[in-house]
Amino acid sequence: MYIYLDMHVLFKNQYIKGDHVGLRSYVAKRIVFAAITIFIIMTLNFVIFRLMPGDPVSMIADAVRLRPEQVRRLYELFGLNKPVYDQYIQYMTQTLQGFYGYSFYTQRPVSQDIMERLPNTLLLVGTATAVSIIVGMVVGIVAAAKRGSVIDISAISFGFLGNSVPVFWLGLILLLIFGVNLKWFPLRGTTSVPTPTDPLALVTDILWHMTLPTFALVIILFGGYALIMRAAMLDVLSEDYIMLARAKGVDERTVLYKHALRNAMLPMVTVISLAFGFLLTGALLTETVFSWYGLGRYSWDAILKQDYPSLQGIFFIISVMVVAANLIADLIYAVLDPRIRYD
Amino acid sequence: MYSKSKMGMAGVIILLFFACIAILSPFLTPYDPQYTMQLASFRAKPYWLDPTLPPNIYPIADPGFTSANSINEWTISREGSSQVSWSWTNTDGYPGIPLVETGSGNGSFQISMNSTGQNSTVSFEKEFSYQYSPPRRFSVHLAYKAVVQGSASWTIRVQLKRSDGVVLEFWNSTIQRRSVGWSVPKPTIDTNDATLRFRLFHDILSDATKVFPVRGEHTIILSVTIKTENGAATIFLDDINARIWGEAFGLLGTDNYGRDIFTQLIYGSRISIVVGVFSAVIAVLLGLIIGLASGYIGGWVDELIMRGNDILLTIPGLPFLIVLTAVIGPSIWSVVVLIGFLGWMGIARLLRSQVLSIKSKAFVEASRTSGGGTWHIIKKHLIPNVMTMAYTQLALTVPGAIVTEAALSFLGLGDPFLQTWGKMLHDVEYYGAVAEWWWAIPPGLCIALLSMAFVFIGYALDDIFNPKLRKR
Repeated sequence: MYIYLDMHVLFKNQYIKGDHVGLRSYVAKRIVFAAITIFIIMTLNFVIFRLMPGDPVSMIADAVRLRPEQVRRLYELFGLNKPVYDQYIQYMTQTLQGFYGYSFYTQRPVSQDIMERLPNTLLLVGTATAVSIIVGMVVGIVAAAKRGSVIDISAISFGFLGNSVPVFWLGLILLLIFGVNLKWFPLRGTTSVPTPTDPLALVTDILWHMTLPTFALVIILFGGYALIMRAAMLDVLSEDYIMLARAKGVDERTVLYKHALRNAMLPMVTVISLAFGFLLTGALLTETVFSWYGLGRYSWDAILKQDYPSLQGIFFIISVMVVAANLIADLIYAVLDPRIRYD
Repeated sequence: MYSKSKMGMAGVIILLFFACIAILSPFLTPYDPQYTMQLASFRAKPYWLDPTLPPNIYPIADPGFTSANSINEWTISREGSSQVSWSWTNTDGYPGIPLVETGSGNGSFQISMNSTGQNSTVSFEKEFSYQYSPPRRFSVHLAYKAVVQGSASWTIRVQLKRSDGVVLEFWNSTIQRRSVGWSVPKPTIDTNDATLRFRLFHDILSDATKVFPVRGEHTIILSVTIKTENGAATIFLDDINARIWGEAFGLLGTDNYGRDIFTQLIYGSRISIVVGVFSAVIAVLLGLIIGLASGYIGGWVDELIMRGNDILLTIPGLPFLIVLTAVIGPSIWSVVVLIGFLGWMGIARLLRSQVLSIKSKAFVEASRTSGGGTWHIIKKHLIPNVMTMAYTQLALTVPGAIVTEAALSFLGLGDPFLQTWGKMLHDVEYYGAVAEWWWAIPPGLCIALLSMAFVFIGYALDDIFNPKLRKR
């Protein structure tokens, strides 16, 4: 949760800047890097699965008391009777094909469980990201333009809050105030029961259920974005061309919004992608509090039921999403900032 | 210099406050956060919330009959034959059930009937005043022993006479004709007892709120009936402990096991500080070593480390931690180590760039040309110059570690033997106790305050060590 305040993440791409490479080769490099990252994450997942006390089969067998022939059948299913490298290859192939094993608890393929919940998580995460980026950028710009003002100080304070307030606790408090006491928002769930059939009513219903979790995430997140935006703005405002613009007599509004803002937006692209992992993490915790039918509540259940395949599936999916977000950000950055390509 | 930073001082004060609480916790609260259960009714409210809620009430002052005076608190009456006698005796006492409960030592109350062909009931009553709203739980503990010679029968009854005159019978031993050693009523006389509830679920007794619907003077009545045909009987009674379980307890009430929430809050500071500081130290040490190596050696080593660093930075931390802790098994030290091992990447990157800039400074060049070896340069020039940054990073890493531990505990991956702040929030979520704000608010507030203290300290240090960075 402290990722934002480390200003150095802004310069994540600095070593690339030194390379004199064209766009195509840059893109190729980033894609290879992303592929290597995914490969390592998959390998980690495989290793963790073997680290478990006992093995997956003995765990299932403990849970449901199987007959010896059933146990043997399970060993074959998991490929545990083969040498380790064969298991590794089997694991990699299955994962790439989108098979993450069966959930101990729901008794269904983990991928099916995840695919059912992923859209809800993405909806929450997407909305929260969009709102907090917009709010964060606006607050950051105003804070940079009016240093020392109330907005500046509150931007800094919210940046600190995002660092230290646990998002699930904030969720609980929002639930307590707006759900339990004021009864403005529902206490749990993604939609009402029974789910409204009218499309318009359904959308309103989902929005109504989404408000509190989104609000919790935005409160925690936007301060960080605001701080980065503020720092980037202040950075740009100290550049020579800003001084030149001011010397030319360009009015302050134009300097801020035309000259400075455009350049200060650049680091935000990186920050947004880097924050994506944290955002997903935050969403996992927030969903749990609000019983949002997404990956968060799924992992809460999986932890309580010791459902390891589901946990691994969740970890893998989230990692892939984060890597993809990073890759997209790198590519956008390359398009926006030609210095990366040609230096 | 540090004392001039308002933010820094605020951080230090908050930190000192929590450190004092952590050190003094055994003096601040007499209970154990994890193992002292049943202090009051489960999920009792704080005592200051509502004065009409009953605290723990023990109507009987000396339940164990530890002294001869103890029988004076009872009003004893007899019905039937006058051949019955009662007295306090020092020779015998309820020894308790090994591993379950301890007895009260010597001293009990004995009722004897030595002549044959007699029939008599001795009842002793204890009146007490109850001026609160109805409790949810009421229990009476009782131990009895019967010594029967020849042919005699005996009965023990436990009753409650309400202030409105209604007499409720909780338990009777039915007619017994034999000797028994020390035993306790089964099912236990407890409105929380499943067996009792099951047996009496249609009855008024299954819910203590119906036992005390009225305020006023209530009377606990124990009566012993002895009928001798051709023999004698002596009944011993001990540990007659009635209890109205408190609906109001302590500063912050109790949790689902009747444990004191305030105690958990106090002791939680210990765990959070230890986890935060230890994992931050691990992360900073790793970051220091790796950053130094990467920056000083340079070349392909640097490239390799930094690329690896990028990959690790991409892996989402909490989901990875969840999988690891779920597999390794939750224990506080594995959590500390894991958080430390997953937190060094940003620090290493930062320290590396610092090392790079120091390495190219003139004084390092001078040292090198005058014959300073690698270790000399690292020890005398690099480490002293990155230490300030390392301290700053230490302070700034602690909040992340504290919040991460809380998140893991909240998700149910906390140490099962420790009641941390995150675990308290887990309980709130697990038992659906959001509405109990005295339970839900304090732990998160403490997490936020403690983390905030470290953020403040980190920023103050940063301000002092790198003044120009902040003065933009």
